[in-house]
Amino acid sequence: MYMQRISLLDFRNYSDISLDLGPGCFILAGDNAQGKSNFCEAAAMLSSMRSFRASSERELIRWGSAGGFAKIQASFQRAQDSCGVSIVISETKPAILPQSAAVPLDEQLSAGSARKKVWLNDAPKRALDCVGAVKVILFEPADLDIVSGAPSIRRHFLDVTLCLQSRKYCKNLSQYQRILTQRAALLKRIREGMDSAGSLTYWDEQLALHACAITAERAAFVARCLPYAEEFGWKMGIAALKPEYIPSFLAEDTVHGNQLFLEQLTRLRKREIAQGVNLLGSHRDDLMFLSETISLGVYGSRGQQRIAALALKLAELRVMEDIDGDRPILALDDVLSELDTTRRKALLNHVKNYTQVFLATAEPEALPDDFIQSAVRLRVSQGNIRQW
Amino acid sequence: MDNVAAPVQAMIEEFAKLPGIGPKTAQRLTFFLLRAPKDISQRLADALIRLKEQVRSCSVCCNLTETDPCSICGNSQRDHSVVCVVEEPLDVLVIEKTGVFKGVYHILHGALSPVDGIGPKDLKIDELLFRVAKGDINELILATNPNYEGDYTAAYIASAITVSNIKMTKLARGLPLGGDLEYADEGTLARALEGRRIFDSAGH
Repeated sequence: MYMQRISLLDFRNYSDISLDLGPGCFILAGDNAQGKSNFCEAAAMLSSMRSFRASSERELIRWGSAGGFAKIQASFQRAQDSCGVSIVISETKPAILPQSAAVPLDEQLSAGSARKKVWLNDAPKRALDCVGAVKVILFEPADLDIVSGAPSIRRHFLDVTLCLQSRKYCKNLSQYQRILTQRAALLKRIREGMDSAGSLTYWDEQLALHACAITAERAAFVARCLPYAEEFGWKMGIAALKPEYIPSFLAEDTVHGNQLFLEQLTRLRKREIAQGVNLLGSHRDDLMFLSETISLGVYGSRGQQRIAALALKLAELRVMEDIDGDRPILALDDVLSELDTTRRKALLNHVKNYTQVFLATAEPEALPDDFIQSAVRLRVSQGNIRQW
Repeated sequence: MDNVAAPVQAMIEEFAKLPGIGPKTAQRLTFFLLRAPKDISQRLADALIRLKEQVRSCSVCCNLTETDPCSICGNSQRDHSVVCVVEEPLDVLVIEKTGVFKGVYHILHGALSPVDGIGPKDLKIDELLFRVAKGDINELILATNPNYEGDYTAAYIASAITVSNIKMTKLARGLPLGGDLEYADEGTLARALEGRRIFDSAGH
């Protein structure tokens, strides 16, 4: 699929721009703080319905916007049909804070909430129902954390991806969260002698049911990513790159899985009550990146870690393509700066035939000439985007 | 709001404490009372006093009542061997509206929720176990809400009851009457399929 046209109105530093796009590679060149990442953010938001970096959606509305709202509007060509997505984020009332000079004005404003409205083909929809209508895979510098950061970041990545694929997974996950909170609170109550250990039976069963399902789905997804990630790894000079899902419990993909989980849970009972924490389940799983048998998260260089993270994202794109029969859009925000010339070329060769690629860079002169010639060149400058 | 008379301000603040009432509505209510004839305020005040003074808990079913036992528990026409266990007094009202249930109730006044610090001692569970222990009950209908807290409460009660000759049932889950299949969510529809029944000629 590809984006045919995008308009941004009072979104971040864009006051009002419209761009006609199409299939192919788009180089977004520009100095720092001109709006490259903001563009990538808008593109990704059309897919996931949420910003990957804004802590409050209020931040997305341009400072000094007259209307008090930001609008992202785009039309897409998918494999079978075309599709239009619009998102409007509007200010609601600023939060009522105690009037005090100690709170700076911008904090008072961002504490105010924002309302988000979404339209799919001009019909108003709930944001949840539009997630994944179009698919944009974004790789941005902070994604390095998928390899080098805490396990929760890796689980979060898998959850976001799988939620994009399946409503059922999304529902399962939110129920799982609720079970975890209740069960942890119950464990603490048992420790304090306010409840009996027998009260756990109900939550144990619910936990087993959901944890087994979630872990199985995540493991299956990582297994599907493996061949694509490995292929990309070879191209980028990492031998036998292997993302591997590590469950925190033994699970067989059978009806007995739940039983097995419950047995392991029983063995942990004393420790769980003593600590007042859920010790077993999908929330303790991890994802490991191996090159041959070496963990890149521990021993990999920064460059290798970046390549491994990128490999997983590109594999995600291919797996989605396998499922939908339509290749998602790729947005690469500032990935080239940490790669050497050979790997930079290898990456560009790998993605240049993708349906649509956005490549944001502060150093367009570092790109190979033939790539520049074949791509659409856009210059991002102070909230404007022009061809160059 | 320094330029508002103190009694007016006090009334607004009291109204604003009520659930679902914001500052604007509180103001509107206050000024309505201020302008309305005095007997409206008088009746409201009387009703408020009576609410707290005359409503108490039924010693049998724990429902809110004026008489003890309440009108349902005191009704000899009803089947006292079937007890429907619900979370809130409002649940009784909706079940009574159906006109189908001829048994009696037990009101728990909430559901177990460890995270909110609500344990068995905070609900009327001991009262229920006491009723069961007396041995006059044949069937308990566990009609707690169909969510985790409700299900957990039902599971807790079921495990706490040690008497063996008592039938425990729960409400069927499935499709609302007059609804369209296409508007049902997957969870509800799946439950409805699991709980399907033999078709009879009367159509129900």
